Amino acid sequence: MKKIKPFFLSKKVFGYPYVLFMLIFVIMPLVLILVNAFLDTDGYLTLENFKTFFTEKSSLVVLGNSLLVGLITTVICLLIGYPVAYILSKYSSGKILVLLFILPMWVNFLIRTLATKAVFVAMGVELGMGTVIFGMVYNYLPFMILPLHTVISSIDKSYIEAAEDLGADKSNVFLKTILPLSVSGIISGITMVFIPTISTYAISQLLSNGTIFLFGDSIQMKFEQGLYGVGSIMSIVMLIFVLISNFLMNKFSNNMQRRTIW
Amino acid sequence: MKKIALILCIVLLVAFTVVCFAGCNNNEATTNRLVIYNWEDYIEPEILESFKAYYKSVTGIDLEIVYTTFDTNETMMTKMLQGDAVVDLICPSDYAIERLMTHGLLQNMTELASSLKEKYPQYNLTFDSFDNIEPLVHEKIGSEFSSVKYGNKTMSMNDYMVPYMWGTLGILYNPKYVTEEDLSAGYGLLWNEKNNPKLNGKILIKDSVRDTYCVAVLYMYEYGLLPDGYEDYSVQDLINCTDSEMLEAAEEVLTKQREVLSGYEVDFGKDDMINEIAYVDLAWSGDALWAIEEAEAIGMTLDYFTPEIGANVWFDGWAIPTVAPNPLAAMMFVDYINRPDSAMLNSMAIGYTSAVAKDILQNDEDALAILIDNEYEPDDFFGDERRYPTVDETFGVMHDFGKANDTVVAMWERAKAGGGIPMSLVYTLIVLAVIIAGLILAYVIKEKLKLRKKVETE
Repeated sequence: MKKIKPFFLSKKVFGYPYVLFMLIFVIMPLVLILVNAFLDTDGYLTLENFKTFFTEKSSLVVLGNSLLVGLITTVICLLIGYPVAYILSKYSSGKILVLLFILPMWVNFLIRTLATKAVFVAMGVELGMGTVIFGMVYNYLPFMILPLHTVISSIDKSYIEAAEDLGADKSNVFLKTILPLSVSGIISGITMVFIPTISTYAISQLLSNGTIFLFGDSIQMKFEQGLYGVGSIMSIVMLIFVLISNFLMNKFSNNMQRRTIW
Repeated sequence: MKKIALILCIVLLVAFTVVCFAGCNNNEATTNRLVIYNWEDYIEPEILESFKAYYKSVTGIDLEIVYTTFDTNETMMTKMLQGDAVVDLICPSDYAIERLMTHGLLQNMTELASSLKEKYPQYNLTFDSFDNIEPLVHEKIGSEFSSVKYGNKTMSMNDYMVPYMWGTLGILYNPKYVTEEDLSAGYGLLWNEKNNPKLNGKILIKDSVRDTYCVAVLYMYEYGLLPDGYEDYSVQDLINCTDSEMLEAAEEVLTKQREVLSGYEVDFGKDDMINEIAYVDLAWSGDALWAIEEAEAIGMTLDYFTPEIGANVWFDGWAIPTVAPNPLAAMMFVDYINRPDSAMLNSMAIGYTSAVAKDILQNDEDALAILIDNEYEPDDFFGDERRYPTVDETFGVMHDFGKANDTVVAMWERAKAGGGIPMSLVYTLIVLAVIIAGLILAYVIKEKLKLRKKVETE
C-alpha cells in the first residue's frame, strides 16, 4: 500500500482555496446557467427558450449588431495595433511606450468610458455607432498590442537577416518573414479583442445613450426582465464563441510550434 | 483516492459553514434590522435617521437600517420573484405590486396592523397616520385593483399597499428650444412631429418598457395611427392592451422614433436636461418638478406638461413581502413616513407628490413650516397643476401585463436594437461568420490529416 503523505504538509494544500473558489464562482454559475436554460418562468422543464431565442428576430438583430461592431473594432484595432507593436519591438524606447499603452488600463474601464462620454458631449459629437466603436477600440487596443508585441519581439533576428541576405527587399522581408511569424500573435490579439467586444454592455450603453444595443446589453436586459431562460441560452451562445476561439488559438499556437515558418 | 475524499470533505465542510453562518446571522438580526428596497433618489435620508430614534423610543431596541435601491420596477420584480431578496419593505408602482400580489408574495397590511397591535400591546401601536392618505388615491386604487387574484384568493390592493407618492408620466422640456407649436404636438413632441430642427437628437425617452410603450400607444391614439378597431378604446384600456396588432404598430413608431432620439435613459435624464444636453425628456412628474427647481437655481427654465389627449397616472406604495423578517419595524416605518411632516420632508427632497392628503398637509403646522423653510408659497405649491393634477378619465393606470409581458419585452428589444443596421446586413454577417468558422475548421482538419499522413509515411 502506498503511504499517504501527511495532508497538511504537502505544498498542494495552498492550491485548495483556489479550487474552492473555482467550484463556487466558476463551476456553480455554469451549472446554474445550464439548468436555467431548460426552465420556463414558472420553473418547469421546457425547450421553449431555445425556440424563442432562435426564432426571435430581435436576437438575430442583436447578434448581427454585435458581430458588426466586433468586426469593425477588431479590424481597426489590428490596423492600429500592428504597426504600433512593430515599432515598439523595433526600437529600444519601446518599453516606455508599452508602459504608456498599459497605463490607461489601470483606470477602471467604467470611469474611462464615462470620461470619454463627457469629452464627446463637451465636443458636441453626436453619440451613436461612431462613438461606441471609438470606445471599444480605446478599451481593447492594449489587448491587441500586447500579444502582438510579445510575438514580434520574440522573432529571431537571424530570420530577417537571412531573408535580407537572400535578396529580399524590405517589403518582402516583412511580408514573407515577419508577418507569417507573427500570425499567432495576430490570432490571439483578434480573439482577445473580438470576444470581449461582442459581450460588453456598459460601453455601448454609455457611449450611445442606449441606442446601440449589443449582445451583452441584451443578456443584461433578459435577466433584468426576469427572462432567465433566454438569458441563459444567450450566455451559452457567448460561451460557445469563447470556446471556439480558445480552440482556434490553441490550434494555431500548436501549429506555430511545430513548424516555425510557413 | 483517499486524498480526493478528504478534499471533498473539506469542501463540503467549508460550504456548510458558509451557509450556516449566513443563515444564523440572518436569524439573529431579525429583531433589530430593517431592510428597505426602494427606488433610487426616493427618500429624504434624514428620515431614516430620525426613524431609528423613533423606533428606539418606542421599542427600546437599536435599529439597523439596510437601505438598497432599484432603478426600474422590472429589476425589483425580478429580484422578488426569483426569491433573491430578503427584504422587509419595498416601494414599487401599482402594476408591479399587482404582479407581486398575483404571485402571493405580499402580506395583507390591514391584517398585519391588527395582529401586530395584538402581539405588541406594550408599544401602544396605533398606525393612525395610515388615515392621512388622500381618499381619492385610495379610491382610484380601489376601483382599479379591487380584485387581484392569487390561487382562489381575491384581494384588494388597498389592503396590500400603503400609498407613498403619486404622479403622472409627462414631458419635461426646455422652452428655450421647444416652441409653442412643438407643444401643440402633444406626444408628437417626443417624435419631433413638427420637425423642429433644433430638437433632432435632443429627445430622451425612458429605458423602461412600460413607460415607453404607454407613450407609444398614446402617440398613436393622438395621431390616429392605431390599428383598426381600437379607436373607441379609453386611455385606460389602450395603455394596458397587449394585442399583437397593437404591439406591431407600437414597434413601428418606436423604431421610427430612433431617428430623433438622443437616447434611452432612466437616471441621467434630469442632469442632461439641466445641462442642456437634451431639450425634451419623457419624465415622471416628481423628477420633472425636481429638475425644474434645480434649473431655476442656476437661472434657466424648464417646464413639464401632460398632453391633453390623456396620460398615465401612477401610484407608488409601500408593501411588505411575505418573506419579511421584521414586519413590525416595516409597519412602523410606513406609519412614520406618512406623518404630515415626514411626508413634506420627502416631497421637498425628491420633488414627488406625497399621497398624504392635501388638506392634512395644509393644516399641519410642522409640514407648513418645512414648506416655507424651503421657500415655497403654500398656495402656489398646492395649487400647482403639475404637482396636483385633476385626475379624470383621460388618465389611465397601468396594470400588470401578466403572461403577455414577455412578448412586450421582445417587442421593446426589437425596437431598441432595430434600425441600427438593415436586416440584410445582419444575415450577411451571420452567414459570413459561419463560413469563416467553417473554413478555419476545414483548414485545421486538413492540417491534421497532412500530419497523420506524414507520420504514416515516416
